[in-house]
Amino acid sequence: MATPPIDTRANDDPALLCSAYLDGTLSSEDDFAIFVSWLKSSPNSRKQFAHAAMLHTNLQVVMQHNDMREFFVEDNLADASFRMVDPRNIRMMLDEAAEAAAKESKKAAREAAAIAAAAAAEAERLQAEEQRNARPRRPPPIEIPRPLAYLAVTAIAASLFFAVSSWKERSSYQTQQAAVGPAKIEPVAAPPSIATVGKSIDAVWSNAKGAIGMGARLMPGPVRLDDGMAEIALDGGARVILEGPVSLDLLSSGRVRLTQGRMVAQVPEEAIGFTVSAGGASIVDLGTEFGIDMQREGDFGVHVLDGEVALKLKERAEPLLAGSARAVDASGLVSREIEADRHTFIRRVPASSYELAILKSRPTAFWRLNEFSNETSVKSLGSLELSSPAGAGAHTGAESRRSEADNRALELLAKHDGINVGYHPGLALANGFTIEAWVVTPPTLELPSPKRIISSFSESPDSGFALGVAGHAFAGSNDFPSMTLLFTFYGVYDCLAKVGLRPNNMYHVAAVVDDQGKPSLFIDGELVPAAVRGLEWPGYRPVPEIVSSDMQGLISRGPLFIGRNPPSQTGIYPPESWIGQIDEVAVFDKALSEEDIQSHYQAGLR
Amino acid sequence: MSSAPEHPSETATERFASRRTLNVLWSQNHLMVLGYIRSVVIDFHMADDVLQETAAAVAERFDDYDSSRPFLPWALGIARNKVLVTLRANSRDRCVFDHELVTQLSETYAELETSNNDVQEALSDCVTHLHRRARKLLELRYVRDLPANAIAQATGTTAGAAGMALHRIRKVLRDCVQSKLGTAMQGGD
Repeated sequence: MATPPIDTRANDDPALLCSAYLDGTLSSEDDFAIFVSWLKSSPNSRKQFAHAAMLHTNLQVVMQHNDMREFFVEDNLADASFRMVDPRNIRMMLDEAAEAAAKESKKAAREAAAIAAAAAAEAERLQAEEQRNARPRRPPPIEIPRPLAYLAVTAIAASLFFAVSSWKERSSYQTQQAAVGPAKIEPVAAPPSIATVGKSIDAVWSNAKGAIGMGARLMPGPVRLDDGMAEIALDGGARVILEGPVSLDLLSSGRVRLTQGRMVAQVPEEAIGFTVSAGGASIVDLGTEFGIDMQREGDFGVHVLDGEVALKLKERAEPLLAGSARAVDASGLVSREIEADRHTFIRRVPASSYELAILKSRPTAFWRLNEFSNETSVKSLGSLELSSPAGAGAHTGAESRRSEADNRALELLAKHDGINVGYHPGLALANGFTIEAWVVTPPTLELPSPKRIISSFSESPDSGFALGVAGHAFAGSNDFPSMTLLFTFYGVYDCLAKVGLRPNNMYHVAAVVDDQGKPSLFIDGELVPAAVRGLEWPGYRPVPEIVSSDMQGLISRGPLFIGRNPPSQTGIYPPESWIGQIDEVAVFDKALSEEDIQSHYQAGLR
Repeated sequence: MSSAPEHPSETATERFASRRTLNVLWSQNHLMVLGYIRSVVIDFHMADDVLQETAAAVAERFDDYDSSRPFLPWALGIARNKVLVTLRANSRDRCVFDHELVTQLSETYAELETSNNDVQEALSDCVTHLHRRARKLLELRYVRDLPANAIAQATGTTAGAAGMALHRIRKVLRDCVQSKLGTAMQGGD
């Protein structure tokens, strides 16, 4: 560094030598030699130097913290008209950090202490003298300083240890972020709590002391949910919905760091500025809801579910609007656009273990049928969020026999119109799909005809599927019980189980059609033996391992009904209306495994 | 679906508890370690790299740390080795401390009081009381990390004057912190 040597008076003043050394302006070898010999001369001089260096280090932390704060809403700002970062101008604002800092300083200067102001005025006078000679220039455009590019610096630098196993893989460039020091200055001896645990379901926390209950207060530090889901409300106002397995660090009332797993952040207006850091990047919320999914260490996807966020990468920032999504690599350098999938995330903590189990399998449509008795339509969760009218005779709000609190079911008695879900391409399925439901079977043992739980039967051409029950009268054979599970592809085949069902009893039932078209039936989570009868065949045969083309179901172009067949145009098939209860109907556009069905059933028993 | 804890998860719990201890110790002391590193490795970014390496080494060797002895001197010992390696690698620089001084300084830092968080809070407050021009200088030096002549250019002055101004601002801040905390922060001037 070829700078002119500092004033020769420095030789006499060790404090000046310290300052010059720390600022890197002590380049003359003579001055350096004097400085070194002073340091070596006594432990006291080293102590003096160490104090100066600590001030220097602390000052950097403080200045960077102050600088970062200016881009967010201050938690303790009195006035309601807080400054919002306009996502379209983020880059410009970062480049003009000097102007923003000056405004803030002007306000602070008005309250300046007398001594500090006088001493600082002296410094200014010195500069003013020099300024008279040269006109001050606006500083040339400066690259965004590294610390500003990843604003969610850890409040507890210790959190860097959570990823200590992957340190060796990371570039030194990226690891610098943790060394900047605490962004929020708090006495570590007794860190105040900053968040409250909200609702949870089947939550398994990695906590030696046992379960963390609703209302528990959390301090800054790591949080890990091994299983289940839970909601954490941060004191700054933001809510994070966690889906286990997930681990994150709570840094402050307005900042968290995601280290692995999936979470959704919901940020009301008063918590704007809430930040999630992930890998080498961070996401600043500007009044929204967003989901972030980190499966491999550091690489993550962010989907903006509502509102907008600012995605801060290592070297630039970009605004993201609702409906957009990005994949970001672990270093925080690269982001690429990906297809936004709002259904990747479960956006609220499920009310029951069964709901959690179903949602984790990402259903196409999931009717909880939990509506009250005065409600006239039912709604579905999942990829398709539908609202469908409950027809005459289809009674919502019935007390469910399952042990889950506040659970209700659909009650179907005599003649009824079922629930007309309508036609949706997502529900027009032929291969690779699953249907599941909890039902209370019809009260009569002898069934003259099938009873359908869910059906998309259609004519011209004969197509669609239906899941229901039937008995040996329908089968025309005493090889089958009086009531058992039936899965039909209209015009193609009937698949009938061989395990009996009792009337007026509750069961978990499921039908899975694999990608090749082979059907499997499940009762209470167990795969049950079954047989199929097609149009061409004389009777029932065991379900073949390899399914031939004459067993391929046709996709229905008509509506889907819950509780009965859709009305037939020509009257060729009767309604075959369900009598009993139907609850928690789920349709998946993939073939679930036996383990999935079993675990769903188990979840429904809790 | 939670199963009874098996042996592997108990070990994980122990590891988790040990990591928590490490986290607490590190968060209490890491700024002192950083201060030490910065006093020998002037460049901010190189110093940060050394801090990272130190942190990693501390974590790896935490099982060897004798918890009956103070943490800071142990961590500083590790930092000192990392510093020496870095200085050797950059031995082209003439103005670096020698091995003896680097070691002596690690001992100096080990004896500093570690109530650093109070200092930071006071310092943060003192900075807000500074005049606009003073804060601007600090921002150029500590946030934008500019060398002296760049600061001079940005403020329309000379490198020497900029250095002197920074020195005086730091003196003001030290006095301010001292008055807030009432501690005798011996530091000359």
